[in-house]
Amino acid sequence: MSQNSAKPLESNEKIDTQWSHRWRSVRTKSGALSFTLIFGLLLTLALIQAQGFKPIPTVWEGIQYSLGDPTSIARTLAWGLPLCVAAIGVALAFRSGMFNIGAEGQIYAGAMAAAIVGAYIGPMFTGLHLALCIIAAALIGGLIAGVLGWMRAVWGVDEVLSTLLSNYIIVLFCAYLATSPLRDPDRQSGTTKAVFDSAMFAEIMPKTGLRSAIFLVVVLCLAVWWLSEKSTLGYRWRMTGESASFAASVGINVKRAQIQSMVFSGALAGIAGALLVTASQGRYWTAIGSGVGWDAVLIALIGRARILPTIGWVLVYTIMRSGARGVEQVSEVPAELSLILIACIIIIAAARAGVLYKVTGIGRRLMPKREGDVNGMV
Amino acid sequence: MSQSPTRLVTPVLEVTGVTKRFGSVVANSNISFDLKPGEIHALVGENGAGKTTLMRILYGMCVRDSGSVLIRGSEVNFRRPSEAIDQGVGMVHQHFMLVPSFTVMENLTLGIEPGKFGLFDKRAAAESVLESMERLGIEMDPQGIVGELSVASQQKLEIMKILHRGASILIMDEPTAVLTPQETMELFGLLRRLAQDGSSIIFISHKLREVFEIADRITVLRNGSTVETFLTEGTDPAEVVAAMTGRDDVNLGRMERESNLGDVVLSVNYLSCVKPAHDSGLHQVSFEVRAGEIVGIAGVEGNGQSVLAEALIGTIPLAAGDIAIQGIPLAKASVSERRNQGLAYVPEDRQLEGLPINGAVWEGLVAGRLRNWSAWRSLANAFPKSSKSWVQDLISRYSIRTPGYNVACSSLSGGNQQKLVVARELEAQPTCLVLAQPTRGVDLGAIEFIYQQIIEATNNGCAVVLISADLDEIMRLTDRVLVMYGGQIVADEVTTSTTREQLGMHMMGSVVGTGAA
Repeated sequence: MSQNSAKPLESNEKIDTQWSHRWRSVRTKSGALSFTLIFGLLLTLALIQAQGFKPIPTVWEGIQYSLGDPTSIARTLAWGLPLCVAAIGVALAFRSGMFNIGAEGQIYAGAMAAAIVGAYIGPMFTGLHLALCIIAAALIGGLIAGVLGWMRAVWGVDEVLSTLLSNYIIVLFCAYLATSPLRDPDRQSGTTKAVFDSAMFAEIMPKTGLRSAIFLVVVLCLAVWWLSEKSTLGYRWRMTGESASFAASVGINVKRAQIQSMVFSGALAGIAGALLVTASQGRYWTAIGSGVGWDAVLIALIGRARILPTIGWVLVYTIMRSGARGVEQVSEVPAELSLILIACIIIIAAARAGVLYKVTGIGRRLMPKREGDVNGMV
Repeated sequence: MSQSPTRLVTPVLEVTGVTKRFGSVVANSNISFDLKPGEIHALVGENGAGKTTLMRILYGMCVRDSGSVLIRGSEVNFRRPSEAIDQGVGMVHQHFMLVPSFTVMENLTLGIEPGKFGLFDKRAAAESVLESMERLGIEMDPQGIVGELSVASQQKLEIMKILHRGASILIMDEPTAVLTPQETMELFGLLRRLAQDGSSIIFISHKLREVFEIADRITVLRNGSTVETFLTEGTDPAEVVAAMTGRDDVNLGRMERESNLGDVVLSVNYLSCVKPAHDSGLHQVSFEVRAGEIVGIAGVEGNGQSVLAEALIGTIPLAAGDIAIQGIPLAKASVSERRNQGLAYVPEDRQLEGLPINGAVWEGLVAGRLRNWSAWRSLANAFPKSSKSWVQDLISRYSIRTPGYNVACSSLSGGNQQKLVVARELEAQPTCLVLAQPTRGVDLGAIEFIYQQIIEATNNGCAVVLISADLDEIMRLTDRVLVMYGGQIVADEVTTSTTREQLGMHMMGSVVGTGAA
């Protein structure tokens, strides 16, 4: 070792600065979050006032409806479960640089797979039947996303386009299945046979729709967080997403990382679809997803693809949606207004999270590349 | 400065006691220097010495906290570059501010287009452009598309653009970084003509050789303050380096070491690959590197050196040819297989390839360690306790200055980022090390440290390929030099028996023996 000017810092000094560094980042993050929420709330009040309604009682109603008592909380949570799983799935792919905006399609495919396994196999032992439904959904979701990821990695087919377009193919194909070969003849068109009771999660709070699926979701959240943020596999994916050139030059197999993360992402979206059937609807019908996949993409972007912030934003979003539904039921405030408000809040959050920058990034990738080398030269 | 031979005239620019803080960081502290008419004044200092901040203040890109700036005797305080331009201050940035798809003429007149009623008078524009070209002795087609010009021509255009706007004080930020020795000479000729015509030039550079060649006076900055202003004639590089670093033991000459050559480690045979967007392709490149040997690859940028590095590590596909390390063929091997064979790589663009720039320091360091982990550890913690102490150890052994391993790589200085990359690569105990521009944008202290690490590796029998655009670096460190031109190796010289001029000739494409001398 040569003598050098940089003297290594004392080790406890190092730990101190590390902690203060962390604490500072937590403070700025929570500051950003409360800024967004307070700003959104003010905007909400102003908009409701402008429409000639009483703002504070209306918002209070919404909060009461979503969080007022244990039943409300359970109902709100039940609604958010599939969204949560789908959102962390999308985030997982984003983290490795893959824009899986095909979550909606993967959710439909997963729901269809779960509905088929739930209705045509069995009845059997509940745990096993549920496991089969969920595995089937995860497999089909993972397969779809994996193939699209493989096309990206090997053929260079842009996954933004391919996943986007896959949504239409899958949703319409599932609609065909539900209206023709798998249609439940006893019901109106567009629904499949009800699944056996053994393929349903047990309700843990009566009349709230909250089922034991919540335990599965908590386990999935923890597992995905570990996978993405802590594990070696997650390290490879994150490095691939952060800087594919770095990953390639240190010997990470970038293509494999891209495909793997897409498989896991699709599997999670598939499981979200399975939850729509086995923890809620009990059968497949043509509009079962109702945009959960799109919400998931949005939330994963706002959460900047980090798993914990994404889960946090799922909670915020779920409470807002649930509150909006409550407002709609008890007051004259039109439903559209609440949607506008949610959109506003999301835009504020998105601006903070730099989503606009990401979207332009996608735009740039879709634009034909001209003058690229000229700019690169100077 | 009392015995100054320069005429006793009022300076065109006088900076006195300028201080600028960013938060708790003092970027400039009580800086003073002056610029005389017709003078070329070099500003040198390590990264972070405050050169950039000072230039940004002079060019109106940031506002000083205290002190005074006088231009032709009157106090100014620019708040934006347009105000600086109005006062005749122009800046040539490291990255040119040109529109690549526009013509030379359009670029020159952009923003000050002649014509009436919002119409562009092409003829008047062409005339004014030709006039300023003639004055400067520059030949260039006014209708040429800028993106198609060479880098050197683009730089001349950038200078013309500034003069066209009436600048008489030119700030040049590392202007020679992108030029060959010959192009640098041409640029210096132009700068001298400008100075004779009465323009004053502030010349910022890392390369002391050039500073001594072009500058009348040299001002050294260190840690945000002016250390001293030297008359070029009255000083020598050692004195300037001592002022820059605060140490008087910095070695600027050849890094002497015991040459102890072993068997051939790396052999490259008839390597060819298709031209990628950013560089030339490779045509039948062959060479060998022995254990303990440092082979330099010189050449003007864009002649295949970057591609050669990428081909060696395996991030771009080969069209033909073979690469072997200790006789084991690797042309079809993946990056990780090559690395397992003992190849290590310090990439050219450390912010893109060298480290995860937005990732944490530990994420940049553990990559090599994780590569060797078996598949069943995929789901295990990527950064367990044992790795933590290993990372701590690396940080202190390679004296990487960082508050901790959890901070983002982007918060480290260039030199420390590069030490991080070198630490990771050398920790793998490579048998063959490929270095691409290892000291670009790195301060002198860190450069010396990195050189010592490289030499230590060769003492342990590592074969080193050093790709560098900096001829000084090649002359100081290597045993042999290969020169690349147009994707081929056009010369193979023993470093101690060649000269910079000879290498410069090769870099312009003259093949051994058929030189156009």
